[in-house]
Amino acid sequence: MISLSGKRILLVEDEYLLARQLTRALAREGASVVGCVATVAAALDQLARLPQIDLAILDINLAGEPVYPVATELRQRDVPFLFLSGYELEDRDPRFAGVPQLSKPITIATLMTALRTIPAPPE
Amino acid sequence: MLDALFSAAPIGLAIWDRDLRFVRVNDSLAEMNGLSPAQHIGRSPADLFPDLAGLDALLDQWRAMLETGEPLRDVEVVGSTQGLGGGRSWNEHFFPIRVDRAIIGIGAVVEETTERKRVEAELVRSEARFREFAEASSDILWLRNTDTAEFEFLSGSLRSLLSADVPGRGDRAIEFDWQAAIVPEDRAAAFAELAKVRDGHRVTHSFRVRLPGRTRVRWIKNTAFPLPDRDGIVRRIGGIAQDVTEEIETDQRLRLMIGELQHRTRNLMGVVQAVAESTLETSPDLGTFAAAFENRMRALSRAQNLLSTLTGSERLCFDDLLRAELDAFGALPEDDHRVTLNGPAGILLRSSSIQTLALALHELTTNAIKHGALAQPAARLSISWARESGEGGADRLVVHWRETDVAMTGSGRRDHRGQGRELIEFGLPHQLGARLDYRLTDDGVACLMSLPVTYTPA
Repeated sequence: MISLSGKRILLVEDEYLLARQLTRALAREGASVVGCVATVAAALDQLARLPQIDLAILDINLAGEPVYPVATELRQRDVPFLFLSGYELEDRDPRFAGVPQLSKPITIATLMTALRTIPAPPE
Repeated sequence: MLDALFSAAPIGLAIWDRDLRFVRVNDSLAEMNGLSPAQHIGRSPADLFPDLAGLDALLDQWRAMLETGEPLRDVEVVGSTQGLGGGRSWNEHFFPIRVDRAIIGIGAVVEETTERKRVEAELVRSEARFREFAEASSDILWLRNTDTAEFEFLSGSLRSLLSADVPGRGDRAIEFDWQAAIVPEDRAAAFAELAKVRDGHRVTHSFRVRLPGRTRVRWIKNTAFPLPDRDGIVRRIGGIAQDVTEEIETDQRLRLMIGELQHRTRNLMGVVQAVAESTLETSPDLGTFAAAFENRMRALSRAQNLLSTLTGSERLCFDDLLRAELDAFGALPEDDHRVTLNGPAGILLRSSSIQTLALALHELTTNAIKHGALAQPAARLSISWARESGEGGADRLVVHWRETDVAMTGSGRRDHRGQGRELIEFGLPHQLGARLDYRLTDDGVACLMSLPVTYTPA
């Protein structure tokens, strides 16, 4: 189990109230959300700019736009991530079949457990 | 021995003399005629079979044969004979019988064809019935010869699929290259399935086609089956093809709608959870929490109600959303003289933006009621909006919420609207890409919102 303390997190979630709730919950665990964005373009922009990201949380559907380009970029950078979704598992892009996914509505406790047990990226 | 062959042959044989009287008749022919062989001898056909059609003309031909020696082959004789009923038919060959060079009589070989004709006629009727059935079906029935690679049958329903102006009616073949009609992406899979049929398997598969005379790609569901010959070799395959474009499109639309509904519902539950949590953070006691939480839930419900009245690709207008929120607090201009609205009706909103925008308008309204223009009799609230065109057709809705003549003392100056203001100042930019300018001025709140409204109807 890894500690979230001091982790730098990228949060991609279009629903502001959910993003706000997650940001505050993560802060209570000692992590900091260094980027909180609602679109693929903004997420890719943050990835290009932020010096270091330890973890990412991605909502799959961003107002109709799939988040997968961000997932692809994260995978290339070996940044571990997980998905949040209002969809069932079978709607997933098969390229990311092994990525953990939490179905909304999520509780902060489940999110914390999932983040702590997220598999490390391959060396 | 020849006598024995003559009488026992399973085919009718007869000999007439030059006066066209029976000289010999074998058992087979006598049986066909319903008489004994002996009853024929010395009589002419005209005596024995007055009901045969065209007998006089036939007898004329016999007389001519006696002169020319030219045999008559494949003569169809129809009619009735003694005692065996009508509607019978025979196939007959007539030839001159010579002794030395002189023609002394006529011989005949007779085969009864009544049963064969009946079966043939039944086949023709049955095939006509099948064709009628095939033509009436909206499915395309087809039969293909794998040796010649040609269609032996292709039902007319294909014509309605192709287009009205493809020539060919009834039995006339419809000419088109079906292999080329299958879209390239589906071609290999479709051929692989049909190859299985040649190996003796039945298959049902779907593929897309672009048919001549049609611009839209259609979905075809095809069931194909082998029709092996008696030797077990498949030289023909049959099939039933259906245009399932509408079914597939409806199915895709439904899946999309269900997915969207599921997404929205789960999102909404997350929002409710977040609203509860954040309301709890700012509530000193449960009573305050209950009142604030209920109000926010009502605002969310109003937005959901408006959304649920929409059908298909309809979109909600800003003025509807604003008026619904103000109406919930009796704050429409017709109910409250302090309020003025000024802006065009019918500016369409993105449906993903409605929930957050509704909550933001709710926060502005409740703040005005608790601490702002709607808490003071002499104050004013003016809300004006317009659509402004931006770069590249990216139109924006610009809303100016202006409270004036608010005495900024006491509750007017207090700014314990942290959460609502946060939603407006951070939530709208985050979720809607809005630009915000929220200020507490000397005489009330001034809030300028500019949000993208570009929506291209599907």
